[in-house]
Amino acid sequence: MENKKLRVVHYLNQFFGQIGGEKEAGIPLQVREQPVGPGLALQKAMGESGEIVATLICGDNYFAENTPFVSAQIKDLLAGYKADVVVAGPAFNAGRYGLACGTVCQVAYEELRIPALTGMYKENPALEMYRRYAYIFPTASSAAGLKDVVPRITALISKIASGASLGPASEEGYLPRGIRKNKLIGKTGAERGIDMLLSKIEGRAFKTEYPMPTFSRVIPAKPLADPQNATIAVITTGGIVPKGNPDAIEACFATKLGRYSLQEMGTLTAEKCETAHGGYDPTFANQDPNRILPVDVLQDMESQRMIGKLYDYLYVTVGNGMPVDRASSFGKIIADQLKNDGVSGVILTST
Amino acid sequence: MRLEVGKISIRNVLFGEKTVIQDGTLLILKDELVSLILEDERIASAEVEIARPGENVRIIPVKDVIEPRVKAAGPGAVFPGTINRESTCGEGRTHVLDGVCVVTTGMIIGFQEGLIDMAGPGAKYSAFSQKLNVVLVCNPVEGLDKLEHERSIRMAGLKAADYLARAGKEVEPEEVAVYEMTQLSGSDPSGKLPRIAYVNLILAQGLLHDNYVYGLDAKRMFPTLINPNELLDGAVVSGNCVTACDKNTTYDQMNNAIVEELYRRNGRDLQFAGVIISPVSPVLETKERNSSYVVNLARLLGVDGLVVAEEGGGNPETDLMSICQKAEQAGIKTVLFLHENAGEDGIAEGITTTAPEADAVVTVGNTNEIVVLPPQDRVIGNIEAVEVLSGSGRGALKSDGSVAVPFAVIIDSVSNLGSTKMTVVDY
Repeated sequence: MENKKLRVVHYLNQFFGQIGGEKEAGIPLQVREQPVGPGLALQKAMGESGEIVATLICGDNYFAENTPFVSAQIKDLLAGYKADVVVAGPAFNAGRYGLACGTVCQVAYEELRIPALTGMYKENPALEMYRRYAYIFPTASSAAGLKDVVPRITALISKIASGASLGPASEEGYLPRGIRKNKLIGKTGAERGIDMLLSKIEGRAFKTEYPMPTFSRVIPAKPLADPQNATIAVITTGGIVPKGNPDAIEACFATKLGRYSLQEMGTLTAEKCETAHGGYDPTFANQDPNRILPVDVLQDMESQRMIGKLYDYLYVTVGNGMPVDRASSFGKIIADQLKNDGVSGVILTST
Repeated sequence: MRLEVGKISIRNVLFGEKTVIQDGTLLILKDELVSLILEDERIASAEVEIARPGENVRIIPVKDVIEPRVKAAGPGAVFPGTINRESTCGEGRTHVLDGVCVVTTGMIIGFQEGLIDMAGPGAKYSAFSQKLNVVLVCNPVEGLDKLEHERSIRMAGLKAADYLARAGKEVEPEEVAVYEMTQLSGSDPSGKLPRIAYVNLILAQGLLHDNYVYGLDAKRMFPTLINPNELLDGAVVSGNCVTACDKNTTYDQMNNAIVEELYRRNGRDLQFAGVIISPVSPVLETKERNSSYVVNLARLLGVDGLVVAEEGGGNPETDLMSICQKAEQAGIKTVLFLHENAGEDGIAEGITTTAPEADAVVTVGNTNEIVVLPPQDRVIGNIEAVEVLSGSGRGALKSDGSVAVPFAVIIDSVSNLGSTKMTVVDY
């Protein structure tokens, strides 16, 4: 693969940008078209693989107080300088500087798809917030650690310059970004698992292949005080859609959320509805969609005034293997609309 | 129980005048096999096709894979309680047509089957791409309900595997492996090696997410102890129509990678203390009862450790975590086998529930990750099915005939039983 000399844009705060200390923390964003401060060591180490075409310097307080504005400026500058790579900091254990470096990396990666690299101490609060967007290398807590981290940052830059695809975190030395990828390795799962269990029993060190995620817990709401005057919505992850599945909600790992008018559909019948769900035998759901989405009972309850009103829209998706974060984002969309429309109770059915 | 498994190495499969093994080639009298399948009145027509490793063939949609095994000597039969009335297995001698698989296909639910590529990038992910596959393409009679359709295809697969294996009943195998578990403390009289049992979770959820143990619908069973040899003889048969990689095929149970590994190390660095099979119910109360009972059985066995492997994803993780938690609280160490649903880009949380005790987990892969499979010259089955396979979607089939699908649809690319070398790493 042909090596390319990368155009590197470097971000620094007022201190490392050699403008001044805390008194200068309010200075706005400025540009030097040359390496500055830690950039000199970086440029030397990069050699032919990259050139610092611009150094962006901003006061930590100014960045914190004007984040959206500075972010927009940085986006324009990165585009203007045709940056191939962004290096921020390293921030070591500096809190505000860490947040600024993280934000720069996020702008580069999310908005422009430019790989972004930085260095942080393990307790820097920005690390958890921005690890998704940057190749963050572990550093010492102070600037004395610069000489150790520069070679690791430049090694990754050389690899990017070579056009080779980047390896997993453990190989390249950056901190895991929370991105999980399949890989074929030397041993089968069965071999690995029994090795792991024997180590665990015998008190030897072992490493889980999947540190357990932590989930937020939802505390159930209190019962409705006055259901006779409440608007009740019914939503499902069971995939009941109008016949033909007009929104093409996927059978599994769904990416779509359907919203269907009950006024248009009237009642749910086998003629009008079907299930899009791929996780169960659809026979019984297709015979009578109310088995999944109990609209018939709720309409009866509405006419008997047991509930105030059945909400006009059904929200439908397929829960089969849906990642938790996507389910949460659908939940937020639904909740916002329901709240707007004055819905006070929701029946959620799953399969 | 002492079981000898004689492996007859099969190097090619051809249609012939008689079903017989000749110099490592399995010849199949196609008409006889088709007639056998058509004895079932629920099947209107059937076709048998052969797919060999390296051929440009895509088999889709695949329901189950079964290994041809037959009882050559001793009591009982392979697949007890299903295609025969035998009530025992796991002893004597079983012959295997090593290298051959029976693959059942058919649009039962439409989106709950998988695919096998015999060549190209997809072939490196599935062990079945390396097999000589005898593929049954069965069409049901009109109006057959899905429950009956599944049952008829399941039985057709077992019958075909039994029919082919009978050709090897009198053939002298090249290799005989011995599996012996006579009593629970047999492998290490000194008692110094750690005692380990394996918890084999099997889906028992209805709506075609079902397994059968000695022919019994697993929904009707309680967690129970089983000799691993019984698994090798087909005591557990898959009736699953669920996302391809979520399920453990009948082949996977007969060649259970965890059983094989525990046997391999038995008496050397562990004592294999048996297998507990536990049905995975969709009902929380049943999950709680079953997980408690699994741990009671494990305590009765006096084990130091449990290997717990899931089938399915989502709600079965409750069984996994609940067993883990209760076992660890009882002083029994656990390792869990699971797959992740971490999204196409690998950034989502891959499972739905956790326990703080779950500190030793084997991840067998992210089933959501996308892989592009170029077109194959020949398709056995129906390529349009790719658009409805669980986990793919409209647009999966590209105009050049290639398909972009999640790993989930390549059968056994991500194996809950750890039969593959797949894992997930952090980027």
